[in-house]
Amino acid sequence: MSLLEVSDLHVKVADREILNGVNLEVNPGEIHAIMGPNGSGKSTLTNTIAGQEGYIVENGDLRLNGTSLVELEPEERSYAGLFLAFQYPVEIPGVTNMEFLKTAVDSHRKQRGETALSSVEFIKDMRALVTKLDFNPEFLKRGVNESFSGGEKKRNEILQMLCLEPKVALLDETDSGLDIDALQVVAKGINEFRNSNNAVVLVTHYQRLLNHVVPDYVHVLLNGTIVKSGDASLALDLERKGYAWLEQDTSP
Amino acid sequence: MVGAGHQSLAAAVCPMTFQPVKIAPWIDAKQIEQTIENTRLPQPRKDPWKYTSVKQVLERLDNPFERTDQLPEQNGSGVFVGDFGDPKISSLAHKYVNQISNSSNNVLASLNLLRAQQGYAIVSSENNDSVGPAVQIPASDSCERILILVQERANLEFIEHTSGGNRVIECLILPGGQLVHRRIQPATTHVEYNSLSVNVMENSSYKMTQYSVGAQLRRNDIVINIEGEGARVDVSGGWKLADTSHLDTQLAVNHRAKGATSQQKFHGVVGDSARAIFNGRIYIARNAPKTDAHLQNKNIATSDGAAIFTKPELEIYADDVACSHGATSGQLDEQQIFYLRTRGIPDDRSRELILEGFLAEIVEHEEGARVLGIESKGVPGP
Ligand SMILES: Nc1ncnc2c1ncn2[C@@H]1O[C@H](COP(=O)(O)OP(=O)(O)OP(=O)(O)O)[C@@H](O)[C@H]1O
Ligand SMILES: [Mg+2]
Repeated sequence: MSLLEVSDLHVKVADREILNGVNLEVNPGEIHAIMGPNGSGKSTLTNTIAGQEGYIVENGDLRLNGTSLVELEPEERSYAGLFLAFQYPVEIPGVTNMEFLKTAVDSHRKQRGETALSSVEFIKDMRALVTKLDFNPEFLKRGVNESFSGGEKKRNEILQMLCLEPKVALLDETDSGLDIDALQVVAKGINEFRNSNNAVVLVTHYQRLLNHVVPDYVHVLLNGTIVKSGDASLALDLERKGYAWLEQDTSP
Repeated sequence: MVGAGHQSLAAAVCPMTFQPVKIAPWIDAKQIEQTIENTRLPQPRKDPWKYTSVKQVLERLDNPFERTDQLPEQNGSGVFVGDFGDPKISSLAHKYVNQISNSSNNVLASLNLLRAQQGYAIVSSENNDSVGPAVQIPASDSCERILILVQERANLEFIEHTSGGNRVIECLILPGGQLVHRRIQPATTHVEYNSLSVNVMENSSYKMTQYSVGAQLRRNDIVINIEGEGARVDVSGGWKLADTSHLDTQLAVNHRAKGATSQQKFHGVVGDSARAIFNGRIYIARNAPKTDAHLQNKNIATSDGAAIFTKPELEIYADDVACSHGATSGQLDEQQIFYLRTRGIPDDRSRELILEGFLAEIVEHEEGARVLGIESKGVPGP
């Protein structure tokens, strides 16, 4: 059974149809990259899968491990094993990163019938993880994403992914705005995370990350549908040729 | 204009249904009454009493208050606490009481002095470099008058609890002095009035925090006068209101000397059918160039019935000043809630977490965290 299955997905946002019939099948152990021009619907797809309010599924289905997500609340989707790294991570002033991460992890534990971790245990785990990501431990004490630089916010998303150990991670432009070192760190985080039981869907504009995290499949999303799928070489073609040739392909 | 409302208000003020104690021999009741006669009474339903019933505050003053004789405990050697009648205090008190609060146009402060059941002063010794333990001003249901005097280059810290009384505090911080004032306002079912006036002299500093929860009616009038160059004023705090509680804070910082800095920062959470009123004012006189003054008030309403009235006011007559002000009220941010929920944090807990964080931003000590109900978060380190 595939891990994530998007079938004939039609999504309306603010009364406008943004996605019109997206199909995607992601199996355990796979890495998928989704590329496409600005405004083509990539974030709409990931936000809809995560359960963002106002993204209305008009038709089609979303399944994680065979369970339909459509009627589930965002937190229930998280318990089902879904994770979304936001293109624009949200700042929550006054809530420390540590408190946020612990509340999230404890919510998951509660859902599994496990007791909350002791603070001492948790802090120890986090420090180890943070060090592995070359993340300054000071960031754990700061407000969630509060005054973080663009790159720091993206690293923070990877930190959360590693904490929550989802089955499917959707990473929406987690590579955008990263300096060369940060890109390595994020790539390392993703490679650390991946195993034969989980899967990663990367939304990206550039080939750079794909040099470090080699995708099994590359899909091109254009005007709300996937117009082309291929292997890692497709990303290289896109880098060379842009999207125009695909647009011509699809126009009637 | 002297309208009917004016008259009825005056009538409410005049009858004295109880015999007040005379808290010090030098208090001249006749003269105070005369002052009140000659002063314009607060106008109901007009600024600064637009949203709070001045009548209720006045009526409360006409009812005998519970009498307390207890003075704050005096710890350490750097500070002296004495009754207004105390010979060691008497001349100081005589000199300053009703001067800092500017009795000539502050009827409520005058009335407080007339009806006060207790009056005392807290005076730092001069040049006391080591700060002793904070002086505790306990909550009381009484009518009280307090004078705080920080001598030159001295330090003083006090923690004030308010609860349903009528209290007027006047503070004078002499050059180089430092005053830390923590005000805690726990829940009360009474009508409460607090008036605070602070004169800040050259190179001195005043730091105040105020944390409040529900009251039937709670009014905080705060006036801070910067009278000396290079003074620093930092006032911050917040509120969490539920049920039908009513909190009105009127805060003015008057820059009357150059090169001083002031900061006002308040966050409030207002739920059920509670009301929060905040009026923050920065006044910069012509002779106060190089002033650095900032004011911020943010509110989150958690119900449709909650009402928030916030107004920043800026009056600048000097050149070369750095000023900012902002006042907002809104709902919880849906994007923040969604972000937390995608991490598995349930909807209600997500909302709580965001509100706690919003208040944590203005909480600076444990007691403040406790009164706002966010003690579990711990207090951020310095
Ligand atoms: N909440 C919304 N309200 C109105 N329009 C929206 C909303 N969300 C997305 N859209 C519109 O849907 C279209 C697709 O947006 P989306 O964010 O999915 O693009 P994207 O492929 O992620 O682009 P980018 O590469 O710039 O991130 C855009 O035209 C956008 O303006
Ligand atoms: Mg996008």
